[in-house]
Amino acid sequence: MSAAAAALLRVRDLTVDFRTDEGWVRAVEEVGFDLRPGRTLGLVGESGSGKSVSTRALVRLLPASARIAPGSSMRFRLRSGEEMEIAALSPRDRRLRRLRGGEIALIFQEPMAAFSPVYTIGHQMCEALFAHPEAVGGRLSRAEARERAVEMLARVGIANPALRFDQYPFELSGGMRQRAMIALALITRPQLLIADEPTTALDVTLQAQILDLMQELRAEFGMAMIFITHDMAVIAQIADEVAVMYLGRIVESGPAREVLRRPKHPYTQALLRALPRPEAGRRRLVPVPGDIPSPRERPAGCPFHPRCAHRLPGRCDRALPPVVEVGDGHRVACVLFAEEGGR
Amino acid sequence: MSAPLVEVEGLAVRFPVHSRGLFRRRVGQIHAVDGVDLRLERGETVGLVGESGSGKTTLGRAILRAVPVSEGRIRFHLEEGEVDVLALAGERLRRFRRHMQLVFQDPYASLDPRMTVRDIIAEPLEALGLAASRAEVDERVREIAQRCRINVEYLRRFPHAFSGGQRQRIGIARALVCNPEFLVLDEPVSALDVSIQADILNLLMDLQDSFGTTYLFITHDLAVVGQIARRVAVMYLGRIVELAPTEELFQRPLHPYTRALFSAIPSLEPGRSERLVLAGEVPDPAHPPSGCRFHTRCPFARPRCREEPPELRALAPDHLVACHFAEELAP
Repeated sequence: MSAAAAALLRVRDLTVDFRTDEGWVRAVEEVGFDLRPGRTLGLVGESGSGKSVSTRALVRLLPASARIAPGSSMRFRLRSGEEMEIAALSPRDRRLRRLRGGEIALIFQEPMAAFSPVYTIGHQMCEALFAHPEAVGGRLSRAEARERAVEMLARVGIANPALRFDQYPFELSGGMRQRAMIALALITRPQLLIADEPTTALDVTLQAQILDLMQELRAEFGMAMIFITHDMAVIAQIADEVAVMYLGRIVESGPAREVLRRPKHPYTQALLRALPRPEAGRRRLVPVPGDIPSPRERPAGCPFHPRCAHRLPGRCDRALPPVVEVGDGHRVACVLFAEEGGR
Repeated sequence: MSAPLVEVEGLAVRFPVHSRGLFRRRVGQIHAVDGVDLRLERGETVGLVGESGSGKTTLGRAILRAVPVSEGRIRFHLEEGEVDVLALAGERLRRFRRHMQLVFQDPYASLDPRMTVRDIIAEPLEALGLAASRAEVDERVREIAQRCRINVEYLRRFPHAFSGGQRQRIGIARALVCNPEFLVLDEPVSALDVSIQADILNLLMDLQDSFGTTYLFITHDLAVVGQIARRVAVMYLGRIVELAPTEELFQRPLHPYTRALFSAIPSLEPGRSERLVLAGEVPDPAHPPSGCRFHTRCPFARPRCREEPPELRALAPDHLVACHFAEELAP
């Protein structure tokens, strides 16, 4: 497929283990996806599904106790056109600094995590510009950097940007901080933005504003995005493709519209059923039965089988289900579809 | 109509604002809750919806006497008679707390990590002296734990071992252990994964069916409130701007703010139609806008809205709205 050839990022067999007192624990297992320039991939899953760890691996921001297993591959096409195998870099490789903040930027749920509390917003934005001359068209003077930063603050919808430039993060309201964090991430015009639950802690009104803003900026800058969330409705608003993760594995993936309309994996179906609908009327919801097992107690076979209403004893608890293509780019890892061989 | 359990009239909570520096002069006040009337009927769930800064949490805590009330009345109509809650003080207030309890948002921060699950759940019983013996406490704790679907084997463990959903069940069991008539639930599912939210909401509905507890359910999420509440009050900058039965509110939201809250809910269908996106954030409650407090963000604001605060008035039976132009704007 030509899509793969044009990919900005190709992840294959990404596996991440953590060293704990009780031995190695697998947080991410054999994750693979392609991301084309300008597209948004939504990564959905509950807490502990491995969605954040997979993206931290992409920028090699994993804790020292983590190990990217041999055989993992994360190929990223740099602005220069050169391909970089991120999995092969040493954590101290200098090229990583160019990657982080220059080619790939991150935003988080908590904006205070992105900023240092002791420098002004403007100072931190200018530092990003000075640190990545290759991304911003050469070395900038102080005045040029200030001008770009103020422009970016205005672009993300911050009123009085010249005033905000000289303020500290704590002086901004919650919504403004979220916008400033986006401005800081995008000031270097990254090719890829990783957004880790950036709207989860926000009120719905603010969430709607920030989602709209991110859509606009993505289109304007032509960047690709990986958007992490546990909310399927947010995926419907922002993602082109979606990958549903459970206990470190992708259980279903494909075009967002298709997966949301015709979810195949019992886990995806359960997640969608559990979502409260904005309709009145007291009624029982359908929770996903049981709790997510600890990654220490990974079930054998399909990781979801202990909670699955459709499990086939003797099969689902024995071997990993095959990945079956059930539609154009729509893949599901479940034995229920193995026989049909797609539709 | 059945008799109300809780009646709130003209409730106001004002926090002083002090200057920085040595003398900390009082330089103003924040009207966190500004003249709220609310009745909760026995066994019903009222949803209280609004953004951060709307005063919804303060209102919930004021009814529980967990923050000082500046003005107004709070009355409980209990079987043993009517109680003027604001007249209670000291020991009498402490003893009254068995009738009203709070469930917190964050199940990670609200449970003492040094106490066992049994001791956490038992604490209100012991603090309020509601059980004669340790054996009686144990029995009551086991009973409520089972009702809240907490494995009784877990009672001797510490809360760190539990997931968010299990912790929230512990928080609910603790709130219900002394059999209160009234429960304030402050964003009880907002910190949980969607899959777990459904489980906790179901549990709350089951418990209400068994015990007949009255809930004030505080949330910023209208979708959640639609599932559980019989009536919904929408709050903005310290005031109730709309109050209606849930189905009525969902079918015919009248206040522009309520409509904006609805259109902000992300829908599973991409490309939603006709959205009313609010600009900006809730203004600083120390300096609320004149007239209708929503006028600075309202797409339909007219000169009158800047000058005259709208009354909360009935546009239909049981459907109250505080907007000068609600009839005209109604979709």
